[in-house]
Amino acid sequence: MEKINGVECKTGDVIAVKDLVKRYENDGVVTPVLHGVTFSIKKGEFIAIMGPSGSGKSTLMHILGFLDTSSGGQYIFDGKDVSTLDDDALSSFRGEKVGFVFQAFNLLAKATVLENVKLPLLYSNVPAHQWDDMAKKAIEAVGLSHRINNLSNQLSGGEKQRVAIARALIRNPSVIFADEPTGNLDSKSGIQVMEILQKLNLEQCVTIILVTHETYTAEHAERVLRLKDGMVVADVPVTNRRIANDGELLK
Amino acid sequence: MHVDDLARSAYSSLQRTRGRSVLTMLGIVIGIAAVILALSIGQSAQKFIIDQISAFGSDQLIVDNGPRADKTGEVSVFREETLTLKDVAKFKKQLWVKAVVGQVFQTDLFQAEGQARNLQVIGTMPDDLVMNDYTVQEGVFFTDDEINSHSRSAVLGHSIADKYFGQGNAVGKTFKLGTINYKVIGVLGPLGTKMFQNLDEMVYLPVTTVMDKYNKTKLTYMTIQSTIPLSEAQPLAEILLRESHNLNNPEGDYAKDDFHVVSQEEAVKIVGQITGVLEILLAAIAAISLLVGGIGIMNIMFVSVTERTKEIGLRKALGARQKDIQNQFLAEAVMLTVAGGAAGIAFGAFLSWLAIQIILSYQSGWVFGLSLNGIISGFVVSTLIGIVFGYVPARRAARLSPMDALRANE
Repeated sequence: MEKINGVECKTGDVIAVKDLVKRYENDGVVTPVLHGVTFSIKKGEFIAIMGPSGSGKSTLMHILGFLDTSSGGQYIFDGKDVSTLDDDALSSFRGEKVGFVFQAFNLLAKATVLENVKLPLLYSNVPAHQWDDMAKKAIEAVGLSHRINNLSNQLSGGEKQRVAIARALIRNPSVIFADEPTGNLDSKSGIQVMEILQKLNLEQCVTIILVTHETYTAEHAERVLRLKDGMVVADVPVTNRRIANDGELLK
Repeated sequence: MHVDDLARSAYSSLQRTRGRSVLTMLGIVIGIAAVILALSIGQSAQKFIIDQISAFGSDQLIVDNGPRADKTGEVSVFREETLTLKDVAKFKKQLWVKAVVGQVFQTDLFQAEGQARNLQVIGTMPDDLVMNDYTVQEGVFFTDDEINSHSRSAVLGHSIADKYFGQGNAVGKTFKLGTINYKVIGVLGPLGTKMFQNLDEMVYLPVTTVMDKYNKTKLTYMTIQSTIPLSEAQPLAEILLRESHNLNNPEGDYAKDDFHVVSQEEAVKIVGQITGVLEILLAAIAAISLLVGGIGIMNIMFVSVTERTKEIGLRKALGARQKDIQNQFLAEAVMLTVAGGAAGIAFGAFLSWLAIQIILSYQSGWVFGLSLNGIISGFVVSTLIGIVFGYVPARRAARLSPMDALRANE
């Protein structure tokens, strides 16, 4: 058993899915995407979900992140069966339990860094007078305190993604979903983003679920889940894990 | 999500598309301004008309020619004139009648001191002075002697007297109506307007003199001042007139009468009904512009939802419930319409004030007034427009699937 900052880490499953099935139905045409996926993720684990396009990795992430619901099977999050939650309950799970980092950053363009990071608190019960402090802390954690009042469209790609991470962090989620987080970034910014994610994982025991098709990026995880045609074809630990830091580029 | 957070969030969203927000609001601004203008002018008109009618004493009955228009359903502008001096004489003998005046109105060319102008000539009786508390500023008013002798003695309204003869100089002077000379024996004090007539610009002559000159045998109308309540006096007057006009109408069917008696109170009520209808009509026209403004709001909100689909997806991913998204878009719509409504109220108030100033340059007696009802309904209506026309776009936004919304425009 590991302990990180007094928190018991990797003690149990934060996510467990069993025979997860997803079908899309459009004008009577049924497209199966996931054909009975079964695996579990421990609390504090850093896992990469890989697979070619059409493998169902994005769909899987959407279901795990409560953005979509499965068509069958079971999904246990933090010991709770969440397979059949209604829309409002899914919303509060999205807000409280998980955070998202997207490839396209998805920041409000004409809003400042501070406003963007505060946005999730709008849908929380946190009193408004605490919002600024919480946001500043999260921005500090991604090293952007000097950019706090800049509009998000004045930032570089790497900075934008760090703002997105701060936004994902602000409600202290147990899981962060990162969907191709380095896909739109140059390699240096990509490494910075991975460094922050690894740091969050190691220092705060935040479970990171990284969706990527790049092997290089996936090697920053501890474990890789490979999907093909809607099925898990491999579930292996990363033997030579990369640790992102400034020196990494020099290698 | 607290109301103030919601308001702040809606405000900053609107700020991000400021130009478009202002243009969208303009529809509501104009619509509400039009409603305020309609209600305000309607009310001012009503007040003006009622003030004019109220210039008749509350103890007076007005007898007009022809049956009551509201009973026959005819609009009788060219009613047959039936009232005579004999009727006036009969009323004079009644114990309940304090004073009675029969009048004839004519317009004629007034010529004096080398100038000429068309003026209203009113043939009236000495009781006119008593009944309406007119003051005689210079000289005297004519008496029954002048009535009986069909005298060419005249009393002038004060602005006419001042204009043609100079202040304090009119008595003893002469003027012409057509080819006949009349002598000024008195000038009235300032009287203002009554029944839309400027009493200060009139020529007052004995009623008999006017009837002679214009070959008239009938009166334009009669005014009776009563010593008993009008509700009792009115039927007495009607019976007397039916008898005098040899009408067989024992059941009191107004359609069979050739005259009608109205009290000031009744006249006010009728005018109130007419201007009330007018006001509703004006407001209804203004409401159409509000409807157009509302559709504009809906249209822009739809554009906004489509344009911000990705933002909606993001907000949902960050924990927003359907209700939060719906409320946000509703709040934006309501904020637009309420701000538009407030601006519209201010703009409408200004326009009403301006309109009254313009009217005042043509006719005195109008008062600028803003209706509180108009202001309240302006706010209520603009809020409702926001809710009604914002609802469908907001609902559409709320129902977007977070995943589909996030993938939009990719």
